[in-house]
Amino acid sequence: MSVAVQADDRVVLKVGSVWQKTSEEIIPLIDTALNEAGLSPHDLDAIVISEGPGSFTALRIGFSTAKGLCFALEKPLVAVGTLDAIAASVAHDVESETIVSLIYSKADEFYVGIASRNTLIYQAFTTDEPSVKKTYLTISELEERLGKGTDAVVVGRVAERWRDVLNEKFHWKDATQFSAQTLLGLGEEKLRRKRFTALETAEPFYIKQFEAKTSERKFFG
Amino acid sequence: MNILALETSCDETSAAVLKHGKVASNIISSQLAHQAFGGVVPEIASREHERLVVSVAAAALSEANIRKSELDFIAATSGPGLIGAVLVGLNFAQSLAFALKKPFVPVNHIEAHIFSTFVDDGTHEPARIPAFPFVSLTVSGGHTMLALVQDDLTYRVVGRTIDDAAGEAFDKTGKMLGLGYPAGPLMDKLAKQGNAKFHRFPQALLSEDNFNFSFSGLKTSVQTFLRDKPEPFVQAHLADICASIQDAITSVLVTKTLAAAKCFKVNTVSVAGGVSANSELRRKFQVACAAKNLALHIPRPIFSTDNAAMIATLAHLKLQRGLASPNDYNVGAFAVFTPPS
Repeated sequence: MSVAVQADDRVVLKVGSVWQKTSEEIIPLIDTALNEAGLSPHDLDAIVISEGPGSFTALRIGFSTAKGLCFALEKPLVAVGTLDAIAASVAHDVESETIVSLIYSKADEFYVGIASRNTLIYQAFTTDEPSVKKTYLTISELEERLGKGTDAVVVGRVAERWRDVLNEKFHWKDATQFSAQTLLGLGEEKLRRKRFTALETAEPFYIKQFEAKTSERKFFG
Repeated sequence: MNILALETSCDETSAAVLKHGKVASNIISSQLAHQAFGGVVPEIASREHERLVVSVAAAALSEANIRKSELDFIAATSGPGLIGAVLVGLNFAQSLAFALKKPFVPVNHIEAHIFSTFVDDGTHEPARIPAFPFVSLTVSGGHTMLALVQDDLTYRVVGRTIDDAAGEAFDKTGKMLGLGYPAGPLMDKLAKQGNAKFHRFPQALLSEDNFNFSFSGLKTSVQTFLRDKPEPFVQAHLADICASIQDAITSVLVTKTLAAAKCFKVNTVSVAGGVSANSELRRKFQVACAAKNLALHIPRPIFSTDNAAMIATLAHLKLQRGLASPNDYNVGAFAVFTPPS
């Protein structure tokens, strides 16, 4: 979890300690970032949130907090795709035409974004066309999708145990640059074009529909 | 003192405004999405809360005819409850409080139930507020607890269920009868036409020298009872079976509560939580308390189900007594109720 505040040309970035503390740390972190930027909540023009995919609970902590700020301050909410932001964070540092962004889900399954580098650099977020195709794949499904000898760069932030696996199979790159700061530029572009997310309906982009078994157990009838 | 409170601990998204201690609005959005699953699905509950939280809070402010700038405190349930569900209301409320520069008051959901008989919606006289000390029965789908409550808002848990909650016993046995979820209200309705003496289901722990409850044996007993009964028989006696189950659950709740009142020598009994809306439970308590000359307090059903007015009310009671400690909007959520030591 990270919080970035943009005050004119200056950016203050604050990073949380451990994921288990996200809920307790998020508002104090916002407070610290604002203080260091010399701002008060009322000075903010908009709140940018990474809309997911990712951990369902983590996404909701972000959304609930962002909504509380927007609702209190009566300022717009701007949602930026997390896979889009991860891909954009490396677009200027890689050569390959295709950039694949990954977010770990569970088992060997990942949320996957597939984008063309040129689109990310020259067109991303200036049109309403989705610039990143999003899906949900296992590692072997991703291998199949990209094909043998692909020059696609696969980028993300993953746990140690996945790094070796991904390194072996793909042109892997750690998204070390990705943080809330990445969202600022993309969010600003959306803000400029007034692509706000309505507070009353804003929800994380889960990708996965939640599946629960319907109740079939009945003693009678 | 104006308070906005949020409650999202289970499957009700609720926001309420309290103006000078009186309920000015109490919006409750009950999630119907769980019915197909025969119980509350935590992930669905969390998603629904996230979807609705702004609309519900906005509705509470608008119905109370109050501006955000006129609020003095923001309160929210911090637990116990479904952790993912609690987090939505808790983070929203703390963030709102931070941005409005108002103090945030976390509220324990179970304690809010205990004090829900203090909710003042302007329809009753102050004399109807329970006199301290009193014995409180909190009885819902997730909790069954007897507490001895003192006038400094402290309480001692004197009895709890050792397995299922009473509301769970209603819902699970109702499910066995094919009543759908939640079964409690329908069982209450059906039981009105039934004979409670049709079958005697077990009333557990009545002879024990404590105030604990147990409802898992009842569940098994209903299952065993139904096993060899042909469906036409069950259908023909559905009301009788419902009345018999309801009688077993409500009898033990009333007996234990009155025994606790006698043991701790209090003159007042308070019953709260979703199951306190059960008409037979209310009737039995009225009869028993009248016979023992005990004052009985049961909130209106709208304040006995999960609702934000009771969260705001406990925040108000604590603030009045200087019991709300300041925080830096860093209050964490918790899932499990821990009795005060």
